[in-house]
Amino acid sequence: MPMPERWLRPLSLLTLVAAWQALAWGVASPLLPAPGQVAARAAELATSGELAHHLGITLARVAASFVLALGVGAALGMALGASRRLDRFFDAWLVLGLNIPALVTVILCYVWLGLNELAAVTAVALNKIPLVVATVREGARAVDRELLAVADAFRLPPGRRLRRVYLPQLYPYLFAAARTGLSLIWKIVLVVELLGRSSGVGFQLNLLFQFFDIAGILAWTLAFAAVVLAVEALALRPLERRLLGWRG
Amino acid sequence: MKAMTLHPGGVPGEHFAAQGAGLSIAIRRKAWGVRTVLAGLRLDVADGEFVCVVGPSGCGKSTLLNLLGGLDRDFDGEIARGTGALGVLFQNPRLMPWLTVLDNVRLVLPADADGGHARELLAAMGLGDALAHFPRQLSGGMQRRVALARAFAVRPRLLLLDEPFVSLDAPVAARLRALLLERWRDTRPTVLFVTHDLTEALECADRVVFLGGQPARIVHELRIAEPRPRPEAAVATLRSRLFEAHPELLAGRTGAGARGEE
Repeated sequence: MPMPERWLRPLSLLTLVAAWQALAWGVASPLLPAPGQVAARAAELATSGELAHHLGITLARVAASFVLALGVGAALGMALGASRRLDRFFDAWLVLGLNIPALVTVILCYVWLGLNELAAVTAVALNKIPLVVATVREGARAVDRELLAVADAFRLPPGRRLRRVYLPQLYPYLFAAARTGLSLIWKIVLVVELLGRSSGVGFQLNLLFQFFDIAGILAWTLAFAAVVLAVEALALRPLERRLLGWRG
Repeated sequence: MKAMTLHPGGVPGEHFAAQGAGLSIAIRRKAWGVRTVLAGLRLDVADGEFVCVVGPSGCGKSTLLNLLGGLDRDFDGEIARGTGALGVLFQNPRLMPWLTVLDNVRLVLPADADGGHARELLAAMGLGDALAHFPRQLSGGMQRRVALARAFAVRPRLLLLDEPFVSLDAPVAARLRALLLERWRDTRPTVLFVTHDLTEALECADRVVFLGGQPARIVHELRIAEPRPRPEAAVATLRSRLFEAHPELLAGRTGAGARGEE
């Protein structure tokens, strides 16, 4: 009898943990701790309050850069999508922005703005903004002018025209930007913390790296990944269902 | 020089006087690039009059409606219309796919309006059971009924229709026309109905205005006093009588001296 599909995901996770366990037994080295050891370490971090503290700081940075990148990127993307001339002018900037290595942006921000929160958040946002612009611009170009004409013919107030006629056409693109944005941002935030902050998950990873504390590194990584998955499942996906449910 | 008036209250333009709440159109020139589409087009429509504008495809009918709807303000001339809301019915239903049927109609209503009027209209259109449906779940005919309800929801004093029943099966189009006339009888807005279907025009209008030539101008006008709904035979008679007098009318050309009232 074939297995119900909903069991596939738990089974796949279980297989992964089992393979890890087997490998850890085989290698028998402190450089590859077993899942149990990592879990114990994570529990230890959680009870000491260390986990919540640094995770909280990192998540605050993620949230700030996410909002900044999405806000600025969406506004620029809409402007470029709406105006051919603007688009022509800024296209080269965008290509450049998309291709600057994250590390360069981070270093320059720390050099120019100092080793502070502003520099950290700015660096992360700057890395993400070009991608948001490119995605939202695609959406703004595809906006249905016939539907906007309906809003104009019926003299809709500008706020309602934006909320109910224009933005809904961009939601799929904004969601795509948010999705890829989150996964990019939470990776870059750690680099930013590693290079220039004395708090957060990235800073902790740096410390543990100095001591070759692999169990610690994996414990932090798993905790962080779990939080990001939870954000995706509990916030992004329900919101997407609500706003894009009409597509059926 | 470009000049235009769109004053609620019908402030008179240079060459004509707007009467009451009707519609006064005096377009000296409307061009797309170097091509003049409309020139010397003057038309006065009385309050509550149902006017059909007929002409060959691409003669500038839709351009005219865009000017009247205020969607295009780049022209030389004056358009004056009375106070009151504007309702529009486009060639395609143009519903917002992300809004339910009811929300599509409520979209054009003032924020403080309750949904009662919208519900009533939709029920009268036979859509009472589809209020929570999304447009993609409806047939083409049903989508057009929603668009019709939306156009009437604003309680329009001026209704602009741009070939709204084109590309529909004949029975579906006929039913929609009946719904339109029924709604129109209730509130009597001024109507400007653009179509290339002469039969449709003869079935609905108080007056049929024929556009033709390049640039387009009014080449003929026909007043129809017969009461609505008009039986098929009556429409056919009107049609054949018209073609006897003006055989080339639908191509947008008329013989000398056929310029209606001028």
